[in-house]
Amino acid sequence: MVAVSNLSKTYKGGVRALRDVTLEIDNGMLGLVGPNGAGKTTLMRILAGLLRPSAGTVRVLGCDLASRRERQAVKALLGYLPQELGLYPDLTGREFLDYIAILKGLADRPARRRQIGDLLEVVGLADAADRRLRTYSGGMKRRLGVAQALLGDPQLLIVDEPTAGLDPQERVRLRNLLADMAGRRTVILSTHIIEDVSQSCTGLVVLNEGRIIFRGTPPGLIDRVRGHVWTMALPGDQRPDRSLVVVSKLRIDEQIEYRILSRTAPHPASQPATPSLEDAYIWLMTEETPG
Amino acid sequence: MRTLRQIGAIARTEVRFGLRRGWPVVGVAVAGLAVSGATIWLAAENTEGLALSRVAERSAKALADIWPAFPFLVLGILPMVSAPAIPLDRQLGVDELLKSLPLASGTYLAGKVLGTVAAALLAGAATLVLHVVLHLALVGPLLVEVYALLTLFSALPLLTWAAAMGVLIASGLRSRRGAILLGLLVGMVSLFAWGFAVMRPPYSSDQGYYVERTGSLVRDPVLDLVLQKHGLLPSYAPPPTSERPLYMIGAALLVLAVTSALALLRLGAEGET
Repeated sequence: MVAVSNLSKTYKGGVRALRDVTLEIDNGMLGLVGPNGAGKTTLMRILAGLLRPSAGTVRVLGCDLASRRERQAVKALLGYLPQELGLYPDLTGREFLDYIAILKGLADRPARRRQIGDLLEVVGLADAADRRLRTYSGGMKRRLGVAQALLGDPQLLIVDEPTAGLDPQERVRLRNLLADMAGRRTVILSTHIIEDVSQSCTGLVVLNEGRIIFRGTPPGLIDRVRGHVWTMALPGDQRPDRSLVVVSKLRIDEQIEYRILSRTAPHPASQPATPSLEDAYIWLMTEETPG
Repeated sequence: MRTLRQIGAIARTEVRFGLRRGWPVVGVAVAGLAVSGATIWLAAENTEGLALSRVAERSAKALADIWPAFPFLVLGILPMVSAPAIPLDRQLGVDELLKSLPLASGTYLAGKVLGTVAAALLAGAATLVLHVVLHLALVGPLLVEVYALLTLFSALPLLTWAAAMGVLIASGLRSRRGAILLGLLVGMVSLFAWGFAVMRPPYSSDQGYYVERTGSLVRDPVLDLVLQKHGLLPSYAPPPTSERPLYMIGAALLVLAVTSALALLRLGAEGET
């Protein structure tokens, strides 16, 4: 579906956003995670045909993105939700979808209207479809963004931080919606929220400083930290060793319970804990970060 | 076929914006209504007892006196209010989404220009209809040929040029405010160019009366040619000239073509970052 080979991107000014990235993506939902500046958005924009790489090749759905003609062909088969989705506040939700649908090449008016109606139902915006977009909440705008990305039933869906800034209910709703979509197509989901990946993605790529530092599945990443996650409770006036990686701390009465990542038991009273994807991600980043 | 549909969709949406946001529509309406009001006011003076044909002639002369203000208003206002069409897409962040669609930069530009021009023309047509209704009600009959020729050869090209120029000149900018300022600047320059083109040649002393009476040195050559044909151009007025206006039309088309090419190059390069 997507084949990326030796991909690099250096922006004007010398910032290297991607370094020699090689990656193959098949059907299903792939989570793309990494810290700020890791190169996630750059990779997504290159895959969407918005940005030209400095080196390397990208083939999407069999088309080489280096060719302008093939890039246009890919765009017709692609659904893209940018990180910062801009909308026209003067249009209604339905008008906006109709506009994007025509630009995507959906020519048949009755079929287009039917599809727009269906998508508005799917994203739960049917009741607000004829309201101006200036009146939409952040969650409604993101859901409309997903609806526009799904117009034309694209084979590849690229969504950049779709759940950022949403309340938990909206986040779960959107996450489930994307997971439903992944059954029949490839969905690439870029996010900071590890829980979104653990709940919905079958594949996982971790980027750091423009390089892929992990490629596998969420359980595969969790396996890496198995045996290195501990919990321990200390009195409120005591602190664990500063060299330890503390994932979380929770005050319970006079004690604080710490969740710690360490190769060996950090304290005689510490207990091994079941690792989560967040533990595994932090462990990976700690191992990758010098010092 | 898909390209035509895309141009149509962008243009239709731009007209919708024109009507909902109001900028180009209000700009044209302000210019049109100012000229309409002044013409009706001037034509309505002392019409009592006049034959209907004389009323229509008098109205045409009044229009000829007032009409030169229209190009100045249109050139001063329309590029400024049309200019944000593309920068606003960037300011709103919609351009990122549009670039992910199978949409060529030329198609996008054509849709934006057509839509803005259509919004301006719609506003112009509505103003014209309102003027005709008010004129018939308050003054009396009017010379249809004068209005038809004026619309076709003066108002239509002016509105089209000013609206298109506003969109094209600001197509590389990222903010609405910058676009408005650039549109204003272009309007000012166009205004001087237009003034130079239609300003009458030096007049003799008996023509001085004419200039003083009209209160203006500039006349619309199209309108004066029509008046001349109907024998309504005052004998003391210098005959209408077409040489400088023709040069001006040539220069205007050249400027439009160069600006279009630059806008296309700029938008094309933007999609290839």
